[in-house]
Amino acid sequence: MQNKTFPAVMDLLEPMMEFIRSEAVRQGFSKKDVDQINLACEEIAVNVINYAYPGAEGKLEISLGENDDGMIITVSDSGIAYDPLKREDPDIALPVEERPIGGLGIFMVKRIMEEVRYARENDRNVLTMVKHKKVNSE
Amino acid sequence: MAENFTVDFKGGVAKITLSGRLDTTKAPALTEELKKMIGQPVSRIVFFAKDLEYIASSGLRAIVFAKQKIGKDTKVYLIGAHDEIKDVIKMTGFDNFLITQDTYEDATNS
Repeated sequence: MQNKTFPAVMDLLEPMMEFIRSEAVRQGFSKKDVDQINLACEEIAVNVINYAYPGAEGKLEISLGENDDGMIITVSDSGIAYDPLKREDPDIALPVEERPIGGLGIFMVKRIMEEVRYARENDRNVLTMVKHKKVNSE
Repeated sequence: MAENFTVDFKGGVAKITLSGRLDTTKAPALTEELKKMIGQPVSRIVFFAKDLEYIASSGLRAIVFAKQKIGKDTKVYLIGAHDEIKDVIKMTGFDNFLITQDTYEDATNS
């Protein structure tokens, strides 16, 4: 299990993603999977950076683990309680002119990851994602 | 920070060449560039994506923005994208409105 804590600011998005990517590479994921893991984690991290600490500074913690199924990624913060999974999925069959722009990121996270769970634990938002190794992500 | 796109806007056709990683830190600059076209006659927006390595949902939002705000009749093309990028486009259903082709010569014939 690897842990890193970052100040929750957009300038550090790239080092956060680099931390996740290098662990995904080490665990043997394909380039395509590494990109998709990056994509999902970026959505989650950007949510925390933009919304967890309104008008204040805060931290974002990333924990990376591995089990038989694949890679376990946990992103947590001590900001305001927010469950991103409660958002309704966008209707992707709607014509683009009528499509609301929000909600897309979380929808992509759910498509990419085999498991996504939210918990509020000890006044922290804890989002856990699992990416399986063999499953094709369409 | 170097921008990872170039814009060539002439005769109602905007050719935008994307490269590198279009992530959340880079996408707003692209949206700003696209905003300059609002109110102008734009028949086509052509995104050249041969050298685009990665796109986050913020990058996709910039592309949707192009379609939503610039013009209902504007055709939006995505040219030469890698499979990884095409997968993301498909996953979000954006393949419904993006005309995805290997080369722009094909696009001009359609």
